[in-house]
Amino acid sequence: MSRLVLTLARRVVRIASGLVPPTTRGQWLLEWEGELSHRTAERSDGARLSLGASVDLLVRSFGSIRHAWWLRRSATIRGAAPGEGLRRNLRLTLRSLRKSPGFVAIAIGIMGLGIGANTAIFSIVNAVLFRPLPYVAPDELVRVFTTERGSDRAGAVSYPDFRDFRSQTDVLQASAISTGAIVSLVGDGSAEAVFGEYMSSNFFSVAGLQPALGRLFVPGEDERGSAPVAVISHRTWARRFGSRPDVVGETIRINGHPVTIVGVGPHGFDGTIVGVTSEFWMPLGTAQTVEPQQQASLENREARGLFMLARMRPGVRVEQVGDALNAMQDRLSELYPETNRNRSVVVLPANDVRLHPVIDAALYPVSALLLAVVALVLLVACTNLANLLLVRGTSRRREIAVRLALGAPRRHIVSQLLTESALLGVVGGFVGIGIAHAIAKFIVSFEPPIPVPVAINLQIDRTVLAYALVLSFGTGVIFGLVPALRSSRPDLVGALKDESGTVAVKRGRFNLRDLLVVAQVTTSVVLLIAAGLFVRALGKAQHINPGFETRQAAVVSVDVTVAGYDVEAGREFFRQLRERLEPHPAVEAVGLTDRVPLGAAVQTTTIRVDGFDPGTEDRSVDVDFARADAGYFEAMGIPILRGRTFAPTDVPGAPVVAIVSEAMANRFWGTTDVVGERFFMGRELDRPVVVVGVARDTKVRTLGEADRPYVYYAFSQDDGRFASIVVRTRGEALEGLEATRAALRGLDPDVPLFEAKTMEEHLAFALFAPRMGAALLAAFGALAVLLASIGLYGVVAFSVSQRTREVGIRVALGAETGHVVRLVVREGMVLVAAGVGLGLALSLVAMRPLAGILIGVAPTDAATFGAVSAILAVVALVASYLPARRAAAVDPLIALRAE
Amino acid sequence: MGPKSRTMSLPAVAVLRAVGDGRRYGFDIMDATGLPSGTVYPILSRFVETGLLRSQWERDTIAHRDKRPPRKYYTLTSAGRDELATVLAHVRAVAGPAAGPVLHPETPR
Repeated sequence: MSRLVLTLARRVVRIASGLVPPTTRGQWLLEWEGELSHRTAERSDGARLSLGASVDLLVRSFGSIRHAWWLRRSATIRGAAPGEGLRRNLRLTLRSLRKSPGFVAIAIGIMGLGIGANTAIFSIVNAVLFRPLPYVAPDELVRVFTTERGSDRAGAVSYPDFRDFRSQTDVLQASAISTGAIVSLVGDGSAEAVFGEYMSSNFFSVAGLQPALGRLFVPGEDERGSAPVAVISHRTWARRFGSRPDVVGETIRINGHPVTIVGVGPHGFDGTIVGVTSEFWMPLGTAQTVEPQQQASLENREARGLFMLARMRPGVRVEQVGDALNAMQDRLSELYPETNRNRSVVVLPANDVRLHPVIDAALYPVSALLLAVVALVLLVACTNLANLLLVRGTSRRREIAVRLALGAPRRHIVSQLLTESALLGVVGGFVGIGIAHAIAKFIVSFEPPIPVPVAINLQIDRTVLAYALVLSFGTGVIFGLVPALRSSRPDLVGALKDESGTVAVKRGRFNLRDLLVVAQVTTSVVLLIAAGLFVRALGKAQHINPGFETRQAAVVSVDVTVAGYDVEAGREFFRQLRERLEPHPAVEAVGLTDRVPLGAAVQTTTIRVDGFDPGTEDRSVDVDFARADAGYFEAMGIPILRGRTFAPTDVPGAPVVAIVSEAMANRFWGTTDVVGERFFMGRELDRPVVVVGVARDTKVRTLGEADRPYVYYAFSQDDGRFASIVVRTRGEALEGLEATRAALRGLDPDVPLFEAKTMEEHLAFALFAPRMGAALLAAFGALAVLLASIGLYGVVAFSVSQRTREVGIRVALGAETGHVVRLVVREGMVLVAAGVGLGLALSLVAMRPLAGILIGVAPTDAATFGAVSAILAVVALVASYLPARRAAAVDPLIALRAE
Repeated sequence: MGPKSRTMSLPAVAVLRAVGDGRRYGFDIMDATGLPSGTVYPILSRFVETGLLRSQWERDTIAHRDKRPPRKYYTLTSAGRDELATVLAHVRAVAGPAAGPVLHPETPR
């Protein structure tokens, strides 16, 4: 470490030495080397330099650059103070900028929008994917997942497995688990479903967190029968308890059980899943009290629903932990082949896991796409800035030429022009940071319609700030460089003569300014086409038939187990609910299911069909499934095409029955005439299931999918803990919703409602991603077009002002107004035509990767391409017409006199 | 350009003062003043140029013993000593207690 730092520091000094005047360079290098070596020798204890000392050394080495720079300057301008050059540049820049406030305002506004859009997206990406976890020394923490061997879908761990993994103490200091929990919190007479987490009592100590108030959990609170306790989150403390300090010791009712609040969690800690806010944390002992079925699941090696967090011993690497836990897993597969065969362990640095490895994997490409989109917007903004600077440089040619003639070195001029663009960039960056927060907050306010509270901490932290400033400074310098070099070209004679009033300004077909406008238009076309495709896909998605009736239906989801119901009581509860609902005048049909299609949940069942070979080793195949009752199909409006729906005779003990979708029948049996056919399920794939009916296909996971095999099992034969009540109404869907709510309240106010919405609202979930994508892209696309049209306007207007004399001559010679307007407009339109052509060609290739995301729209959709071209043509026409009209209004006498 | 007390920046005063206190090496002066290297070194170079400081190389034997390149150290010239006295008197008169950090650079701030 210390050697690396010393090498790095020396390299910095050596690079800086290039600036030092050659006569003193050798001595200068020796002085810095001497200090660096001495400091390293003095501060390193043994061979190691502490992190603080290393950073300090490196920072100091960077000071050598300034020292070298100072020596260089003082060699040319004897006696100047350090930083004098920069200060003088700034002073000159400020003075010259003050003279053109309009230019400054436009430049800063343009950069602010570009940087603002980028910073907004980056601050969201940073909050979700990059910000280190709020734990002590998060680099030492790892997350442990288990997977089916050969599959890359990481799953969580079971409690018995966790206990065995935990014993690997030669690599792990301490291990803890946590899992999400939706519980019912009983307040003023009504139950509310709230999100919290169960965790092992040592979780907070493994994470290194301290309570804001009271205490966290203590050993022994994982035991069944220990006194029920909870730690509430800091946010919940403020929101529900008014931040009262006497909240510790109070009792709340969770799932009907009294639970004592023993502490308040640390400020800024919202739970173990990034972006999802937990209100409560409860140790495993309490979990088993408030939710008795946790007892069985904590003993079940196959109940892999726990997230494991572990702190590594010092010096241990993540791979070593992986090796040790996989060795343990191999022993487990010998001891428990039934449950642990063919599994392996995946260990990941805790900071690399944000929500869940599977979800994270999907978030990275989405983030990359968004960042690419805003980068394009910034590109358009920067091109604008470059164009503005070029124009400004041209109009300052005389001033610059005078300075060059008086002997100012060209690099002085360049550095002053660069100071100007960098300053504009940075000020624009600050404006951008200001609006970024508002943009990001607005974007995040589109909460996904899921029953879990989402909160993304959008504070502008150091990473975001550094990102925005580096981006704005960098773009300011890079996009200012070419204009600066251009403007300072020593072309003295022409500039001093000021040929700006002459006729022949244009050399060649396109000049640099024109090319920049073409580039802007190209970029805008690409962005607009992407936006257009998303908007079209959204339109298509809204008209896709999901396969069930979305109007006049409502869905209410409840979990009776959290209110303490066992299987029998739960069944009785739903029977009574149906009895109350069915006679209601607004209700036409009532159905029960544990999965409403196009929701967030995905569940699959593994089956085997005789005569169907899917190519897997045990001939098994995974199929999406739902549990449903007899009334479900009528309530959803899904017709049974063959056979029957579920019947009162389908009870436990009777032959297991299923209703399959058309797509499933066709896939496995090649016909829809499958009533009476059998397939097999269960761990050994030996439990026969009889097909009693065939239902019409519905969309299951996404609206864009091809019809997917889907199987329904009878609720009466197979119990899910969670149920959604689907109510078909005669009138408004809202009446059904209200009727269901009232029936539930009347039956048992302690049963919390997770979701209660109309079927059309439910569909919003399926439309969330396309809607969000279309909205964001459309907004950024519009921004790009706005910026590009400003750029075009600027270029045409400037060109007009440069050609005042030419126009004057034409008018004097009898040219008509219309002719002049056409002349100028044509110039703008040529640029736009070139840009649109390039943009369309580029889009044909660039949109190809979107094919998988776009529903029902080809990535080369002609309508979109046409519409975008038309939009740009109109925008271009307006942006060129305005300056053209001004040119035509020129009075030839004044124009010809203009010098 | 002759240095005048009223045009000397506070960091410059702190550096001069640190050298006067016997801090001889650039990095030690940084430690004493809390100023970054990019500030301290240009000031040192300037004071050498204007004759307030003198720089010398430490003896080769010491560097050789410690197996590292020799270090350069700075001491006040007599002009520098006079200047420091003038400046400190001036700072005290003008700034009073507020000059603490400059006059006692090592006291915690």
